[in-house]
This record gives sequence, structure tokens and C-alpha cells, in this order.
Amino acid sequence: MEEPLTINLRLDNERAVVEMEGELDMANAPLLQAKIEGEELAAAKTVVLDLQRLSFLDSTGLRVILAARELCWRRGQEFAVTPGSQQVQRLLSVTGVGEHLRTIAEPGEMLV
Amino acid sequence: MTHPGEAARSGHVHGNGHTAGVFRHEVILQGDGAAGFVSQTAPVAEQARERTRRPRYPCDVEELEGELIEPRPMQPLVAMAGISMIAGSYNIQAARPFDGRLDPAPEHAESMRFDESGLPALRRAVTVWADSNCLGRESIEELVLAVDEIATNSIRYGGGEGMLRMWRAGEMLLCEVADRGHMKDPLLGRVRPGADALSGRGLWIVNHLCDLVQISSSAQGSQVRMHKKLA
Repeated sequence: MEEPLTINLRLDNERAVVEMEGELDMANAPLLQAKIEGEELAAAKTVVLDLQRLSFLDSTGLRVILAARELCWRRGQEFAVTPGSQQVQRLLSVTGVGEHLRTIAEPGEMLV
Repeated sequence: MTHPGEAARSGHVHGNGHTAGVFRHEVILQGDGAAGFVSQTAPVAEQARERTRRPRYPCDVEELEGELIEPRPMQPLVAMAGISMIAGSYNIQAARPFDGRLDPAPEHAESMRFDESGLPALRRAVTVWADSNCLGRESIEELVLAVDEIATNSIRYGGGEGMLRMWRAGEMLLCEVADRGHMKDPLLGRVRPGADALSGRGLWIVNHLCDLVQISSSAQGSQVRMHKKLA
């Protein structure tokens, strides 16, 4: 069966971009969690979750995203996301989480 | 910022009528919990009097299940802001919102068993079925998310698996998820978790995305029936 979530990590200077493609739900949320907790990310100054190619997100996936933010903050890293599909944005808006997530238009955008 | 209670109410109001869902929300929130909050600053004896004076709805929640009801004048919602605090400190027994029984799903309903490996397939099935019934794209996404949330709860809390049934009733599409879990908290899904909360969002989301959500739950298991209007 086709893997419903692919995660790519790009390190660019001091920024780590975690690019997700596919669907983030209960079954594959641990994949993201492992990636976020991994060593490769720990040295970055800024962590960006790139949601642009994420087609589906539910509350379990959202929980992992929020946990990722917590971990980054604890490590002293900046944390931001890019906007996802219409479905992803709808979930962020219904839960009220969207307005509390630092959102940038493109993964390379400067954080002000 | 949207008031949590208002948001929950508006999630159930579509078009010109109030559904049983709205009414039930009022019943839950105006049960003993709300009365307790109103009188928090009043002396104990006054609290007791306040509770006995408090008008009760004439019918049990059970009677509301399974049908749309006529709009009726509503009392203003009181003390909404304190609900989460109440939920923690009062044992709310007055409104037992999940005790009612639902009529069984019709024979012709499409059914599909699922477990933890089956969520993607479940989402595809709902998408295809809703699309074949001409539900709009945005509504399909909402229904798929709602079913996914409840199915995730089944996997996590309802015995690790469940059964999805889907059928059309007039201009309404219905998806029902049944499992072996037992929901006991009457405010489940009624109070919006804080922006930083790590859990507790599933049923809240479902209440917002569907036109009506009916829940029946007992020690024998639970059914969550989600209604989505066709256009």
C-alpha cells in the first residue's frame, strides 16, 4: 500500500525545513514525531514545518505539530509553519490553533 | 475571539431552524453545572433554592434523539465562560446526553469495518460515497475529517476497531461510527480546548463540521451519527 505520508528534511544554513507530503493522521503521526526529535534537527536555529503539500490533517496530527513546537521552544529554536491545503487550514481555523501558529508564506521566508 | 459557547452553538445552526443538536447543547449547558456556576458567589442555602427554582425542560434528552424539533424560545445561555471550571468541580448528572437510543441504521446502509491500519481506506470510502451522492467538495472534506476523528477515537478508546455505516435520508447524508467504547463526560466535545491543549479536540471538531451529531453511549458501546446536509 502506498505510504500516505512522506517527510523530507532540508537543512539550509541554520534553518531546518520539514517538508510533509500526503496525510498526517494517527497512523503516521509517530513518523513526524521521530523526525522532530531526531539529532539532525537539534542544531538548527529555526524549524519550519512545510505543510504546503499536506493534503490531510486531523487532530492527532495537529497534536504532534503542537508537541513539535513545544520541543523546539524548549530547545530555544524558532518555530513556524507554512499554510496547508484548504482542509488543513479549515482544521486550524475550527480549532482556533491557526491564529496561534506562526505562519510564513514560504519555507525560506525570514522570521521577523 | 469567539466565545467558546457561542462557537459551539453556531456550529449547529444552519439555515433557518434549530436542530435537536442546538437544543441538546442548551440542555447540557443549562443543567446542574450551569446552575452551580450561577450561584458560585451566593450562599449555600441560596444555591440550593436557586437549583429548585430553576426551570427544567419538560422532556428528557432521550426524547430528542433521532428527529428535528420545532424551534422554540430559548433561555439566554448563562455562565458559559465558566463551563470548563464547572466540568472539573461538579459532577453533572442532570443532563445525560448520551443515554438515548438511536434507531438502527437502515439495512441498505453501506458498511465498513476498520481498525488502526484502515484510516486512509476509511477516508477514501467516505470521499467516494459522499461524492457519488453529490455532496460539495468542501462538505466532503468536512465529513471525511469528522468520520476520521471519531474513528480515531474508536481505535484509541473504543476497543481498537469499529464499524462505519453510511446512508442517505432525503437531503441528509449520514455516517455512523460504532465501537465498544463508553463515553461518560456529558461535556465531551462541547467546550473548546485551549489553543495549546494537546488533546480533546476530536469531538469538538466533529460538532462544528456536521449539521447534527447524535451520540448514544452505554456500557454496551457507542454510536456517533454524523449528519451532513446536501447543499
